[in-house]
Amino acid sequence: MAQKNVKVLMAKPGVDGHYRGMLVVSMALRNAGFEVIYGGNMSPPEIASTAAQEDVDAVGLSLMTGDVKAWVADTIDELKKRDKGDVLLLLGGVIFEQDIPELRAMGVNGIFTSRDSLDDIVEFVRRNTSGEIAGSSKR
Amino acid sequence: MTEAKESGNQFVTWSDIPIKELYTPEDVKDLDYERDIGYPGQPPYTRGVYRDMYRGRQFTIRRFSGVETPEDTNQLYRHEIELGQTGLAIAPDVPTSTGLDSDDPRCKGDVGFCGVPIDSIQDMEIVFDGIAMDKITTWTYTVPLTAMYFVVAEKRGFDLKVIGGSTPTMGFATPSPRDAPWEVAIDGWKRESLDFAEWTSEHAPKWHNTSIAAYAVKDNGFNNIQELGVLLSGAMAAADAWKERGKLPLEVFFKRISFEMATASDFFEEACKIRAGRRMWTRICQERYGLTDPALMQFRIRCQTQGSTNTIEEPLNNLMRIGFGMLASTLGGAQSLHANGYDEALCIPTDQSMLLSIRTLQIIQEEINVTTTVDPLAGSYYVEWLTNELENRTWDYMKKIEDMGGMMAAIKSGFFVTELKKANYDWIQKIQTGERVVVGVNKYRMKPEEVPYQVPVYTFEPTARDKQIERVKKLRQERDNASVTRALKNLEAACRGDENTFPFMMEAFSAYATLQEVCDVWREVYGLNPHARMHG
Repeated sequence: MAQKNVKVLMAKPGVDGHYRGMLVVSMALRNAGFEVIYGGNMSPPEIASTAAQEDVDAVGLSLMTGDVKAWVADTIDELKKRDKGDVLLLLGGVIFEQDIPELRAMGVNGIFTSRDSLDDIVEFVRRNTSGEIAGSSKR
Repeated sequence: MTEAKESGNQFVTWSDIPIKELYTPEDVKDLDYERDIGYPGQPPYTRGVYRDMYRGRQFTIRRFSGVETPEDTNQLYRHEIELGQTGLAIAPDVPTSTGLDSDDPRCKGDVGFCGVPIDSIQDMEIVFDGIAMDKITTWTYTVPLTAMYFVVAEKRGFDLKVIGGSTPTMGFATPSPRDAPWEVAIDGWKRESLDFAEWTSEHAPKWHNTSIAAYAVKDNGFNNIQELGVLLSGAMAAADAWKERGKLPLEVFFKRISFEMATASDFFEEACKIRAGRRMWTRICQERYGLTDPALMQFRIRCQTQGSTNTIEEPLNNLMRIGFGMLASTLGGAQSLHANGYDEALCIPTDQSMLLSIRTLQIIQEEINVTTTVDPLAGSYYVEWLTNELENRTWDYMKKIEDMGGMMAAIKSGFFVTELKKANYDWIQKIQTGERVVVGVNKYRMKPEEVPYQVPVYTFEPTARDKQIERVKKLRQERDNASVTRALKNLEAACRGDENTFPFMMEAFSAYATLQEVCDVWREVYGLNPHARMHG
């Protein structure tokens, strides 16, 4: 079931130092056959320019401590500036329940917390990068 | 799950040590009481670092805390002290913890989240306003924050000779799961740590200035054997670095050393690892460093419950996990404890969870009668066997590190990058396959809407961050910039030369240099960490 051509950029906007989630999700995606670019801490412009240069199919943002809405909004703005507004956008980490509707409205396609399994995330990326229209999200 | 365990001899500890059905004198027949266990307050310190342990001195209740703004954090600290907390620990926000100012564009969305922003001594003064710095001990997270703490203490008229606390200084000697590409190169970090430890040993003699922490690697999936191995091998690397510099006698290094570990869910293993750690450290002091004064061989330890073992599902279950973990650390004989908030998988701790953290430790100290006699687990066949087993397996792990050329060489070789990745991934796999039971997560799982309660979640004040950014900008305009520049130049000269850098760091902060300005001097002189982006 490997989809060798699907590329995912994994990044953590800002300076947060909690890497476990991003690391483990990156490994799960790699093990599932996706090509993962592990960006580590990056600013929103860096995320967007890497996403454009590498022509990725999906961007995964990991946020555990910061102002999630602000970082996501900035990243989406930067992606749009580089014509990557349509990229499949995933968000994982400590995400407040009450923020989820707003984050979806901003354009986040999939939101995952520690309630979700790695398989859920892999399946989500697989489903949404296989030619179907991105945006059908699981939660 | 249970069936698989029973049929396949899968009864194991958190560190995968097989557990027998029953332990008898046969399992500890080689144990020599005087040699291997002995008496508390005496080598090999298996039973505790002090003769009377908690009867003479209770463990310190020290939450690692900080919120949104210096003002809010001051209120929090005052409240913690009112509730009976006996020590403070500064939890800086991420920019502050990595040496960035609040107005740096890189940390726009991180200021005041997950800790307190401290950009200059102005903020440090606010954080400790009205707090008796000569009475309470504080854990100050980094060397620059300790410098600010000292400057503020002196400004308020306290003699540094009476100020107590600790700084996890020797981080250069333990692998870091952090990726931050703006962090100073390891040689800079090493110099900063050793200068600090040397300076404080003379000028702030009550400060625990040589502190080795392994919390972060455990929180990233290392088991207790790996954690203890990293801790002790790291301490040896730091001691070797001190010895190599040769400025002060080795005894000075050992006098104020302290350790830090994370407490997870395996009750007996958590208690036994502390007992094993004490015995091993004594042996290292005697055999590797030839020390003879027993007072220099004490393995004093701070334990904090391991954040990554707490779950978002049924968050009140975490309260039980934390309570059991802290009980294990108490029975193991720790000197300072931090009980995490039960809600930390969801948010930073609310008032409610802060109160429960403190009360959990007070109940352990004063209600359930476990601190009234020293090392009550001693003599249990299982406990003594497991203490031995952990010790033997940890020596093996340390041998592996030694064979790579020691801890510093192992870090530089990238060994721990692979090791941490594997540990993180294996741990998640064990939970996802059900091999390691987590109640409410992979067993007895409920749908979120079926859980019959909700817990309050911390909400942030949206304008707090803007006020902090304004404050540091205003400071840059209003301070005497000529003296800041001069002080930073002096610090740079010290960094390039041979003099102890720490007093120059304090002088720069006295002149109202910001945290990032000071850290940038180090970045400039020593360069950035080439080992960053370890997971890339």
